[in-house]
Amino acid sequence: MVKVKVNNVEVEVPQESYIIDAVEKAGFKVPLLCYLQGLFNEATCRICVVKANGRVVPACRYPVQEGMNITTSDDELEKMRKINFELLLATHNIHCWDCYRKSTCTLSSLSKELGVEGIPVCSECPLYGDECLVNQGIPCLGPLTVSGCDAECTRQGALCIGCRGFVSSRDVWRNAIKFYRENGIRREDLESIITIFWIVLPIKLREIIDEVYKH
Amino acid sequence: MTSYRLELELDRVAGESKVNVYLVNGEVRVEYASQLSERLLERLVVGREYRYAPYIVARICGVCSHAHFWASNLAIENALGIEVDEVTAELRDICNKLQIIENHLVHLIFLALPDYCELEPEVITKAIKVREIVKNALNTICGRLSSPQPYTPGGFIKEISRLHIEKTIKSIEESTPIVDEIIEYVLSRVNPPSVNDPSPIYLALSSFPEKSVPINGSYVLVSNEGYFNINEENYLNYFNEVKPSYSNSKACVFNGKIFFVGARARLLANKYVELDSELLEILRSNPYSNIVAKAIETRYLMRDITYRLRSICGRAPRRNTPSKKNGKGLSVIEAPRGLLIHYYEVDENGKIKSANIITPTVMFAKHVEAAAETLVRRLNNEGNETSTLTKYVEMLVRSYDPCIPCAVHVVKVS
Amino acid sequence: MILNSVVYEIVYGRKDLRVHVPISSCTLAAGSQEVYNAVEDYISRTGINGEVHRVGCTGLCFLDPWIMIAGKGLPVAIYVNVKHVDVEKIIAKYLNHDFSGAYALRFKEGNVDYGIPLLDEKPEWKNQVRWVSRNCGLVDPESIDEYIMTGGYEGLKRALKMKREEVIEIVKKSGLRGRGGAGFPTWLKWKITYEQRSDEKYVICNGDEGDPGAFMNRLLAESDPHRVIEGLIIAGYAVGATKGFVFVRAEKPLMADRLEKAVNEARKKGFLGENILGTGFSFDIEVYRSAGAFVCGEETALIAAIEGRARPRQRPPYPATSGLWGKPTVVNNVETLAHVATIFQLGVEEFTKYGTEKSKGTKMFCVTGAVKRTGVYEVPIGTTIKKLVYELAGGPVEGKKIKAVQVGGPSGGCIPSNLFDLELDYETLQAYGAIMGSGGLVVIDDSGCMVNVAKYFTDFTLAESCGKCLPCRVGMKIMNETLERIVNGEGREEDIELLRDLGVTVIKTSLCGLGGSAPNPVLSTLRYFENEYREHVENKKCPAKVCPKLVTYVINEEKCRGCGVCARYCPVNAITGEAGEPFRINDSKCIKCGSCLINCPFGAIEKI
Repeated sequence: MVKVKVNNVEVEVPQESYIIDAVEKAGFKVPLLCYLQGLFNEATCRICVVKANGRVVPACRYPVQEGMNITTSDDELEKMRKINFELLLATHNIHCWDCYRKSTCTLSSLSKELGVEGIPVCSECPLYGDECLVNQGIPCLGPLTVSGCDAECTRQGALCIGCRGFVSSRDVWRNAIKFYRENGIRREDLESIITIFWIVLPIKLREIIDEVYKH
Repeated sequence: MTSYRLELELDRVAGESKVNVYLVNGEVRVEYASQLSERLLERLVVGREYRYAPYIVARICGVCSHAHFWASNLAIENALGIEVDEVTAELRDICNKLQIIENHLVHLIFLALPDYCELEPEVITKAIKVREIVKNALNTICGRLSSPQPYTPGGFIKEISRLHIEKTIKSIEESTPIVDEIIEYVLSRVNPPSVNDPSPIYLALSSFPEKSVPINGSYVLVSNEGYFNINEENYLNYFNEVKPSYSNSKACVFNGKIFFVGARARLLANKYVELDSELLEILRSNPYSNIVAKAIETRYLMRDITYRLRSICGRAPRRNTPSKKNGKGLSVIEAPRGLLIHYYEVDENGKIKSANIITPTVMFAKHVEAAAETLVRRLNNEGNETSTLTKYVEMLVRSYDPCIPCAVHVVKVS
Repeated sequence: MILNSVVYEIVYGRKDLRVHVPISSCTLAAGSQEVYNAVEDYISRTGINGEVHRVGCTGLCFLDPWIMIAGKGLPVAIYVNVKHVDVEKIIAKYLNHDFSGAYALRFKEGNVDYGIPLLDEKPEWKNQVRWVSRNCGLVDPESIDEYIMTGGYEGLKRALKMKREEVIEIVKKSGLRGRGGAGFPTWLKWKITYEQRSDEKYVICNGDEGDPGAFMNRLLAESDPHRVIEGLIIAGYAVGATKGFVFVRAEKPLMADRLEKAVNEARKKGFLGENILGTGFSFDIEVYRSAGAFVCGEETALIAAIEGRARPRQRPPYPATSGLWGKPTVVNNVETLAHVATIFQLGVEEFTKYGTEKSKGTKMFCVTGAVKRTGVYEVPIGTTIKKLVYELAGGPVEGKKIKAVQVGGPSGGCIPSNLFDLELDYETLQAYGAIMGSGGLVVIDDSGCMVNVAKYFTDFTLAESCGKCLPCRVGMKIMNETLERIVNGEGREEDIELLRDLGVTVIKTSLCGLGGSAPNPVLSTLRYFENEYREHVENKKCPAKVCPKLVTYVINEEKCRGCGVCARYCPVNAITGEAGEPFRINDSKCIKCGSCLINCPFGAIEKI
C-alpha cells in the first residue's frame, strides 16, 4: 500500500493502482472519456489529465508512487481539458438528431461538465425517429440550438425556438440545414422561426442556408 | 410647513422604479416612475406569424410569463375563431393559478413581510420548500417555470399522463397544510397601518376563480360601479392609457376613474371566500390590505387547484383548428397582480398586424400615486419625519407588488 | 598532425599512390561514384602503382565530392568539388609536385612550406573536437581490419574483462548523456535495465534519425559503423541483454547495408555470437529496416514498430522495465553508442576533458541553411552558437545577415541572433525555448520568414503524427491550418492567442514526445518574432517577402531592357511584353515561384 495526497486529502491505495483509483478513493472526480475500467486505458483522449507533483499526466494510466501529490483541478487543467474537448468536437460529426445514444452520450454530458457549447439540443431531447419534430416536418430549432436546457420544450412536444442561442460550429450548421431540407421543411418556415430570437444571423449561416436550399 | 422633495429608490420590488414625493406649499404630489427602459414588445410581434407571438410575449416577464403566454394564446384563439375545449381551458387555468400561488408566496414572505417583522428561518425554509413543489408541478404540466411553451393556439401539444397528474395532486395536497401554516404566520404578523383609500374602485374578472372564458364573445368585468362587457371592439372605450412624462411606463384609468386590481379587487368583487365584516371593511378601505388579500387567496387556491386537478385527471385535452383566417381578438385574464388584457389583430397571411397589451401594473399605477398622496398628506399633517414618510410610502408601494418589467413593455412606437 | 604508423598505413597504403574517395550517401549524391570510377580508370590506364581507397564522409559537405591523394614521399593533399573529368588532371599535377588548387593538406611531415594550409589550421576543422567522428573520412567503413587498426574493439575487450556493474560505473563516471535529444543519463538507463530480473533483455540502437535535414547518425553509421556496433555490444553486456537490434530507416539503404556488413564482419571475427572472445557472453545483433515514420524516433514507438505497428505508448512503464515484447529494453542513439565505444577505448578522462559541468563530452551538430559551410561539426558541448555558426560554418552568405537559428528540428525552437552567445547545452537551450534535440541546426537569414519556418515544421509534424492521441492529431491540424491562413493573408486577430493556448495544451497533454514538442517551433517563433506574425495578420504583409500570397513580383520599368528572358522562364506565362519595351507581370496568374527574378540578367525584377 502507498500513501498519496489527492487535493491535500491523504489516501492509501494498493501499489499497482493508477492515479484514477486514488482519486476515486479520496472522493473526487475527474472527467473521463476513453477510459473503461479493466478494458481500455490507453490514455488517448487526454481529458483525464491531472497534475502529479506538478507534472501533467493522464490519470487513467499513470501509476501512483509513495508521497505523490495529485491535483485534480486548477485553472490550467480546466483550460487544457476544455481545449482538448473542443478539438474533439471539431472532428466529431455531430448528428445528435439521428443518434440513438442521445442523453447517454458521454460527449453530451462532458460538454456540460466542461462548459463547452458545441452540442445541439437534440442530444438532450427524448424524441427520436418518428417522434422527432423535424422528421414530422416541423421546423424545430433543436439541431441548431446550444444544449443545456434539458430540452424542456421538446419534452412537452413543443418545438424548440432557439432561445439559448445557436451552436457555434459551422459543420453542425451544415448538417442541420441539410437535415431540414431532407425533411421537406421550407426555407420561409425555417427563417420565420429562426428570426424570433436570432435576428442577426451570422453570415456563414446565411451562406449555408443559401447553398443548401439552392436547388 | 416645509417644502421638500423625496426621491425614493424602491427595493424589494420587481424591476427598477422610483417614487417621487413632492410637498410644495402644502400641496402633495406623488409620481410613480418606472426606471427600466422601454422594451417595445408590442412592436416586436408585429409582422410575425401568429403561432410565434406567444413565445415572444412570454418573455415580457420571467415572473408571470405563464399569464402572458395564456393571455396571448387566448387572444389569438379569439381572433381566429378557435374553440378551446374544456380540459384545455381547465389545465391552463390551473397553470395560471399555480403561478399565482408561487408569485404570492415569494412576494409575501420575501418582499412584503420583512417590513413588518423579522423573518424566522423556519418560515423561510417552509416557503422555499413549497415553492419547489409548486415549481415542480408547473414543470410537470408545462415544461418549465419561466417562458414555457406547453401549448399553442388550439390546445396542448402533448397529453399529460395520468400518473403525473396524480403525483402533482399528491404533492399539492401534502403541502397544503404547510401553506396554511405560512399564511397563519403572515396574517399574525402583518399589521398594516391604516390609510383611507381615496379611490376605492375595484375591478376584477367576474368569473374568477372559475376559468376565464368569454361569454358571447365578451368578458365580464365587475367593479363597485357595476358589470361591464368588454370585447375587442369596445375595450379602448373603457381603458384609457396615458403616458406620464416622468415614467417609462403608462398609466391607466377605467371609465375615467382611478381604480385598482389584484387579490384585493378579486376578493371584494367575487367574495369567493367567506369574510367577516371587519375584514371586509379593511379590504374595502385600506390599500395596504392587498397583502392580507393575497394571503387569503393563496390559502384558497391551494385547495381549488387540488379540486380542479382531480376533475380533469384522466381526461385528455383536444386540439382544435382555426375557423377564420384573420380577425381581431381580445383576452382578459387574472394574472397574479391583477387583470391582464391582450389584443391582437391577425391578417390574412397569418401575421400579426397590431398588438396591444395592458398589464396590471399599468392599471394600478395611478392608484398607487393617489393612495400615496393621501398617506403623505396625513403623515405630514401629523408632523412625521421624512424617514417615517419614506418607510410607509415604500411599504405601500410594496403591498401592490408591482412588476416593472411588465409595465415598461407597453410604450408604443409611433 | 604527425602520422603514427597505423594511420600512415591507412593513409598511404602499401603502394606508391593511394587516392581516397568518399563513398557515402551525401557524397554519392554529389557525384563521388563517377569520381571513384574515374580514379580507378586512371590507375588501370596509366598502369601506375596505385590504388583507390574507399572512405566515409568527413562531414564537411560543402566540399563534396572531394578526394584525398597520398603519394609516397608527398604530403597528403585534399582536392574539393572534384568533377570526374578533372581527376586525371589533378592526379597528374599532384604527382608533379604541383599542389596548387588543393584545398588543404591533410597530413604533413617536416617543415616544408607548400603554400597550402593544413586542414587542422582551417577554422572549420581546428575548432572541432573529432572525438566520435575521428575515423570519418579516413577509414574504409566496410573494413573491420582498418577499424581494428585504429584501436577498434579494444573497448569491447576491456569491457568484457570487467564486471557488469563496473562497466555501468565507468559510464556513470563519464557523465555521458543520451545524444538522441532528451539528454537522459545513459548509465541510469542501463542501471535500471540491468537491475530488472528477466530471462530476456534487449538493447536497441536508434538509427531512425527522422529530423528533416539531420544526418549526423547517418554519417557516423556510414563512415564508421563498427564504432556503433562495438558500443551496442558493450551496452548489451552491461545490461545483460541476449539480443540487440539496430533500427534503421529503409530510406537510408547505404546506412543499413553498411551496418549489416559490419555486423557480419564482427560476427566472423568473434565479436558477436556465442561465447564472445571466450568470456561466456553470448549476444547477437539484427539490423531491422523500418518503413520510415518520424514517430519511430520516439522509443516506445520504435519498440512498437519492431513488434509490428509503430504507435507510441503512454509511459510509465518505461522501456527499461517493460519494453520490447514486455522485456526490459534499452534504446540508445547511434551517437551515444559511438561515445560508449570510444570511452572504453580511450578512457574516461579523455572524454570528460571536454564539455560542461552538467554535460560532458562532445556532440555532432549538423549545420544547414543560410551559411557558407554546411556540414556536420563535432564540438564540445557548451560551445556558443556564435562560434559554431560564424567560425566553423563560416557565417552568412554574401550580403545577408543571419536572423536566427532553429535548433532541434521539428521538435525544437529558434534562437534569435541577439542570443547567439548562448552555449549549446541541454539546459541552456531549454531555458530559451529550444531543445538540443539530435543536434540539427538550421540557420535562417533575413531572407527567411519565421512564420513560414514555423509552418514548414508543423506541416511536417502534422503529417508524421501517428494519430493516437487527441491533442496532437487534431491540435496540430488546427495549428497548421491557422498558420496556413496566416501566410495566405487570412489571419485573424485571435489567431495568435489561439496558437499560444493550443500550443501549450498540445505540449502538456500529448501522449508522446512528438506531440509534446511539435508546437515548439511555433511557440518559439512567436516568442522572439511576434512582430513578423503581426505583420502577417494585421497588415497582411510578409516582411521577408517569402509567403507567396503576400508578395507581389513587379518588373522595374527603368531597369527592364525588354529582353524577354523572364517570360521564357515563367512556367505559367504570366509575363507579357514586346521586345525592347518593358515587360509586365500579370499578378493574378503569377504563382510567385521566383524563376523570373533569378534569371533576369539585369536585376530588373523586384519583390514588394
